[in-house]
Amino acid sequence: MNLASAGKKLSSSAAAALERVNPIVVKEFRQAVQNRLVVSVLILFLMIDLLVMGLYLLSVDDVPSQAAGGRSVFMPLLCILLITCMGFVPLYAAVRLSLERNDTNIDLFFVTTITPAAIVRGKFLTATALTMLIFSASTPFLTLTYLLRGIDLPMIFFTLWVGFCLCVVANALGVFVGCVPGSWFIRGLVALGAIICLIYMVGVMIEELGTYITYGIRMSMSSWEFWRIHGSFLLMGLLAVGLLHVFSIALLSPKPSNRMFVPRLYLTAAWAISGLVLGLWSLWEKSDEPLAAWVIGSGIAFTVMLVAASGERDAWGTRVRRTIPRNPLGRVVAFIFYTGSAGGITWCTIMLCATAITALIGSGIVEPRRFAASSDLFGVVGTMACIFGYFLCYCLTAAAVRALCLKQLPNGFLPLAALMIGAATCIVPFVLVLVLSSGRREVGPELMIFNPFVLGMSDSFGKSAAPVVLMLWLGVSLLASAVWFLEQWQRFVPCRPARCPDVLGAMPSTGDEEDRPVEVAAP
Amino acid sequence: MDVRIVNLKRHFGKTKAVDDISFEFSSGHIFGFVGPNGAGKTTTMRILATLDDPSEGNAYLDGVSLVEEPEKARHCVGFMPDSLPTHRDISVHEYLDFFARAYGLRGRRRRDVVVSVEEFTNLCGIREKLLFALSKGMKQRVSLARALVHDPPVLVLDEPAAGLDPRARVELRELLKVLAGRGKAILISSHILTELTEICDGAVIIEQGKILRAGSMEKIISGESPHRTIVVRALGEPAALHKELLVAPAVREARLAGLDVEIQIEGGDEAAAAILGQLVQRGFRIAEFRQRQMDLEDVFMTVTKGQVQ
Repeated sequence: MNLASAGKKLSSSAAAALERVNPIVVKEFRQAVQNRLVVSVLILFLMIDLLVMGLYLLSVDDVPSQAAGGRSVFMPLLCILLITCMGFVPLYAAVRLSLERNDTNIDLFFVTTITPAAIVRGKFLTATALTMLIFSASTPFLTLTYLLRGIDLPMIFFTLWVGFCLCVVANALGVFVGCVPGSWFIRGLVALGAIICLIYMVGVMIEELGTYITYGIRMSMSSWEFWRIHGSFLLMGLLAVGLLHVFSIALLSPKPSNRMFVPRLYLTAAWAISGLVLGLWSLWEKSDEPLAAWVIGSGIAFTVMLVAASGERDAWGTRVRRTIPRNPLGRVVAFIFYTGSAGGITWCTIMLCATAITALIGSGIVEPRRFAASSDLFGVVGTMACIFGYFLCYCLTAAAVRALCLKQLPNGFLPLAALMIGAATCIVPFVLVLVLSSGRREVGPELMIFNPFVLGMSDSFGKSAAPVVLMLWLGVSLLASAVWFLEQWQRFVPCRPARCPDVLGAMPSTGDEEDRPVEVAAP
Repeated sequence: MDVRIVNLKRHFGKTKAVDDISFEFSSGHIFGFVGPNGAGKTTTMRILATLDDPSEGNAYLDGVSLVEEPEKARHCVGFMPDSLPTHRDISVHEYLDFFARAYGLRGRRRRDVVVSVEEFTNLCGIREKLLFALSKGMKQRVSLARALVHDPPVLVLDEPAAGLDPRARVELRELLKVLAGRGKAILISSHILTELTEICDGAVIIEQGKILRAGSMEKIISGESPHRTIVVRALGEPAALHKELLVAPAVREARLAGLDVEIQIEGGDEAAAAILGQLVQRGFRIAEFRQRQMDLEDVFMTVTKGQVQ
């Protein structure tokens, strides 16, 4: 009796928990169950696993005598698992989301009260659950390789864990690609970039795991080095998933909303956390290498964000303006963090400066004796600052050109214009050399001084002249784009929510009739 | 609930899809939204459904701005788009259940709502069928059910009768009347204007993004017909009747329409009676003599020019 009531209670609480599940997850699972492609892939996957296992057992004469039989079966099985999970699942998630976010198909998005965050979360959770399903189907096969010798159980489970983590990142990448708006060409380009990233990640993972599989993992697991490296990778993976998540939400959010606010907050927090972790790592190792890695990572992230930010909106609707704080300090902070072209550029610049200053201070704490302008970290900081500075010049020059003579050009084209300026500074020197000296002379640093490749040239002139040229160019482009910048600041003012006017009193006449006013009263 | 559209504009580059339109409608009424293709109907409806943002102007639901608070507005609006659901891997019931969940309905309430909506739209018999296997009429029903699942006070229906057979159209008409009776404010666009005349209390006619006429149905129709139109049919050759009516004193215009002659007369019942008396006196054997009411289609043909942007 008690058992029955406990069972009832359990089932009712399970039903209540199921009610709270994200609607997208429920829908996606219902569709996946009925989807022939998903079912076919799962069956095919199991058949291939079975085939590989069977072929090995049939082809080897004396299985018990094989010292590394398990290892040689494990690797193909792992590859099949990773190809299925990192190839099929993210692609499935991306294509479905892409089709659903199509303007002509408004089944899912924006009609209901479901938020973009819930949509992204639902899609990601579904893809992850599908990955878990495939992993759980594959685990018996992979575990069975232990019986064939040559691989131990900790290695098998560690590999599964690392593989699953990578698949989760791949799923987040798939959802992100699915959220990208625009034509299929643009989506295809982003997808191509994502595929290259995934292939690189799989390559690194196979190489890393190959070493462990060959030499065993038990010894490595007892060292601090092992946990530090894998802990860092795990943190990076988590930050990457979070970053892709907030960017996916931003891409799905309506255009008039404050799309970039959360990504900027997230990036600031991720920057601080990763800086703290790598700083502590530097302190532990008494080496500024982890800090240098942080500077490089942050520099790349903020440079990419800088170019993207230049194309954000330069005017705000009431939806954003009514959330702008009224006190001056709050308004300044909001200007930097809210969606907006000039604010975005300012935020990226502040973040890069903060990175450089923090890294140099950190280096001083980590290695006070070696703290000097000639140290490696100084070099890394200088290079990243120069690269960022070049891109800042391209963006500001594009903004200045637009403000001065191409006002009809939408702000969204600024990233393209900035990249075109950057490309021109790279191509023009070669064209000049080709035209003026018929290609007999080499392109010197004096011609390459307007692009960041000068920093990689062996000539010392370029490296010493680049900061000076950059400062001059930055000064000129800042002056030229000051009007563009100030106009945005002036437009960034708070407003009160719109109030519904009396429509009857505000009705226009139709215009094509002489004496018959339009009657617009409700019947 | 009052729905107010105020100086709404939506521009796509140089094309003014919606150009400064304002009108309002309220609970318990069906409001027709009429215009030629490309007039801006769907754009306006998408803005009302918070799927698009206006270039200028605003729309309000009981004073709540759709532009500023789209999340609030979505609770109040049920939108039935002209595109239909085509998923290959989801059944009617699962589809409606998803939307009920997406609107925040939970537990028994959600199950009851989905069942009642299925009953109301007559989908019970096909609830387990996959969406792609449905006929167009059935998909329209599913689309309407989806718009009703969260019991919104405002319904925005874009071409709900397109492609429906006569029986399904009659059923849809009845459904809309029931919904209006339940206090819903309904904005409906359709090219089948005779049907709109029957069910709508008011209408807006737009062309090239501008309002041409708006108001209650009586006002729109009476505003466009300052003269009475009378249909006359006599036994025998209609040409002679037409000739006779052309020279009758109170007749402004007479035209042949098959076996009938349609005349526009100045004056009231006296003038009509005088014409009828004159015809009988001249020996015409009158089989039919009736006043023809203008409908929305006549007004539409009169006020629109068929221009596209």
